[in-house]
Amino acid sequence: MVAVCDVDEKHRNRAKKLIDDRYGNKDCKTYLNLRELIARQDIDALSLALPDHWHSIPAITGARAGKDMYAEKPLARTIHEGRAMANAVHRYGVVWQTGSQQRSSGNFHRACELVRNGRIGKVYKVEVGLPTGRGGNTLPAAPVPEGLDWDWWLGPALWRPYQAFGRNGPHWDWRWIMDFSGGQLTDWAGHHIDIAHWGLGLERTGPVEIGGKGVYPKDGIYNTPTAYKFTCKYANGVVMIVANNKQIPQGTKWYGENGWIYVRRGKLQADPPDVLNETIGPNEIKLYESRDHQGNFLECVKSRKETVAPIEIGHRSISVGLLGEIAMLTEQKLRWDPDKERFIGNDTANRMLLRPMRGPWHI
Amino acid sequence: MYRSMRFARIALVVTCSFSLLLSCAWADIPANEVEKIEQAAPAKPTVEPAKHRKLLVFDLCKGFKHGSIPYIDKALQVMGEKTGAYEAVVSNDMLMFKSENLNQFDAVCFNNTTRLKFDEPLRDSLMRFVKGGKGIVGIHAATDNFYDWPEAAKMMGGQFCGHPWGGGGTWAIKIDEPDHPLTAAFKGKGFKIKDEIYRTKEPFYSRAQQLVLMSLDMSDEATRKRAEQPSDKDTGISWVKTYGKGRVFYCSLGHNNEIAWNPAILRHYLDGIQFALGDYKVDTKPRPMVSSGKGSEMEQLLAKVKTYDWGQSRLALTELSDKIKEAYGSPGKLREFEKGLMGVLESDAPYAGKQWACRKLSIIGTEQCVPTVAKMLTDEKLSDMARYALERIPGDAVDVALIANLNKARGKARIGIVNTLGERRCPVAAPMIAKLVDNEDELLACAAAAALGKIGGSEATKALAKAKDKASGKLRPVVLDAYLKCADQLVADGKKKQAYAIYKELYDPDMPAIIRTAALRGMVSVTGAGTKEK
Repeated sequence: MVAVCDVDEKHRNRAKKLIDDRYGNKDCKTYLNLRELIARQDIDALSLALPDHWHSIPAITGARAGKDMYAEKPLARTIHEGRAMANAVHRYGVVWQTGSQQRSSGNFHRACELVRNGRIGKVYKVEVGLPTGRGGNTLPAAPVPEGLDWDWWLGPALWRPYQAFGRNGPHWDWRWIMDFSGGQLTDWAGHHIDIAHWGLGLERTGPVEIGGKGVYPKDGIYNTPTAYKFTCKYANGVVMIVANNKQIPQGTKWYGENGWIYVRRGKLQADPPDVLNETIGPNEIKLYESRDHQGNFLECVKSRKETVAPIEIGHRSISVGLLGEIAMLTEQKLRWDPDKERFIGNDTANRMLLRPMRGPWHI
Repeated sequence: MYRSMRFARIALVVTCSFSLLLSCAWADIPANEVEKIEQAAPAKPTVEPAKHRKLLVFDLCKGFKHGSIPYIDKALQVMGEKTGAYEAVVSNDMLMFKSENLNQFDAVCFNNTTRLKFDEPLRDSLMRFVKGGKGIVGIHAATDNFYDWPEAAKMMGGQFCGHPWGGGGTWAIKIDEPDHPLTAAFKGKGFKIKDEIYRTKEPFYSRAQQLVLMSLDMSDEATRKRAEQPSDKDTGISWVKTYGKGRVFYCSLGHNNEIAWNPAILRHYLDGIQFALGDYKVDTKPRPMVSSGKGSEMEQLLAKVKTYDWGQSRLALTELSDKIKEAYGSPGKLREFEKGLMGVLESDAPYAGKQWACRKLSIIGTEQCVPTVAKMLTDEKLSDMARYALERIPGDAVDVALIANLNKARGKARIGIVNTLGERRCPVAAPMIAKLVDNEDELLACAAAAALGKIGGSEATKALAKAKDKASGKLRPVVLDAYLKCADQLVADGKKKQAYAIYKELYDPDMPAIIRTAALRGMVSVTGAGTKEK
């Protein structure tokens, strides 16, 4: 670790101290401007952990500079940005790991492998439960906390004054403001929808039809949906229902003609239960095995092989969440072309595929 | 109270197959006016009738007799014959409402009937007719009936209580449902008309019980001036509703004879009649008033947007947002919202209110709002929100406005315009953007290079080929990336040879390793893996 970049001085210095203490020196460089950091020729890889609205710019700038990247999910704030990111990573052949770490966890891998090998028969439905959101108070404009560069924090998002939302600055609760994130839905889509796709073998495509309804806070600073439920149909007839965990239990549950498999963190269940005792034969589908998500990335940086959560898959996972977001915002049943990545015959929905960026920012 | 009749009424009595008396012709409509009616009537039905339809045109008056009755009778007959939508039978005999007579019809049209009274058996017969799934059409004085029979007044959707807007005046009408098929005759646009307008009173007239298609436009001064009561601000002109299983269409226009040869009104009548007959399936779900009229709900909400600032409750914004969402897919209604949002931008609303309006325009804006929004492009403070709207709005008008402001804008506003032209992949802008790739402002130069990469095409490719040898520092990877993108675009367009040439150029040993990797990948994609050129 040779350098850190953060728009909050406190966080920047804390990260530097962590690294310097580890190495017993003072060599870690600090940056406010990520362009300066990425321009450094001696840096091979980046670890990106930023709010969603700040995902695409560093990823694309990094790919152009040939950096390998471990980047937090969800892949991007919009489908348009996600596609541009995936194209850039492919163009330059850099190694990319999406931070959907459930892929490197035994339970999830096991569940997906069982489903993929037909242990519950042909799957016709999958239910995905994600956390429920919350509203917030109306907040006055406030002075920017010392050491925080608010203009950099906003980056490509539309300008707004600093408001004291969240705990200890804006670093966590930006998730509930639509300019920066899609709420619990998009925070978690990169996990349980990602797993649903993995089990179905639909991780490099998307649904063809989406419709649903969300409940949005009518007032207050937060505006992402608190409750939500939408249904996606895939070209092969499989239906995916995504909802907050008050409507569907949190996790992923596949329904096949012979039973079901349910998985979430710390839990794996099936009906009939002996499905879980099944072994996968030598000639059956073996899913990519990783038991350490960061470790898998570092191995791939050396081997130049594909990671367990490559960018196209990360893009397709969050796309489902983002499609659901648009279906709920338009309250219309939408038809989607997963190849062209455009809605069919709906100009309103197509406009929502991108969020125009502020001033100097572009991808 | 009423105007005197212009024409004496001469009824020719004929005997029909039911041995009932039918009045079916008016001898004194001048031939030239009959001709006007025949010409103005639609040539074709709006929808093909599912079967032979019969319409009873009833014109008995127990109160005031309108001079227009024979004209409208004639128009209804002519339309039926000319379009084949229905066969009209004109009558003023109450016995027609006896079940055995009534049931042969698909709908009854009350043409300016006044003060009709139905006795018990006929009431029962008419109600069973409607509730069982047949149709009712009301023209003008059709609401001037049933004073002792509230159920029928409720069915009609109104009861006459004065006409402050006399037949000698010209009144403005707005279209409440511009996307509704029954207002297609007016192409979604409000209009002015010389006719007498009926006021109908609550509880029979109610936006909760019927879908009001058009109503008086109180933003017109002459029309507003005649209003006498608070309730006059919502004076319905046409509406549809379902009643039991049946369908009701009412149009208040039809006092003056000229209405009978007004092509748009006749089309509107026909559309409504075909709905009542059961052939034209249209939405009848009641909706509250949304309009551009003064003091309307939308105006009130927009007034709140005009004072909205950070840290305030956004309840009104949410409410307006929900109303806009309800109108998605209804272009006519969205145009009204768009005009309202443009009004916010033209007002001295706080930054936050204007930004909110731009967010909404980004979703519903059309070329209509472009001039208003484009005025903000060169203002460094307002430019971002203007582009937020414009970038998402399809159409050439946006590109033209962006190009016109590209060299007028400064600093981040100018960079933003370059970015937006890039995102819109606007080829006409390429030569102007090409000139900015070597700008001394590195951020502007980077933006220009990135935009050219997105736009692609020969102008952009040429400019980037030139820039690639000169670019240094942070600009270089952006230029090379954009150049690669131009090659990728050529591959997508099937111009593999040209693409290969670019990749080969970038595979040069002097290029950064990452560019060589990408160029090699490109060459492989063009030639196929395992070939010599790899």
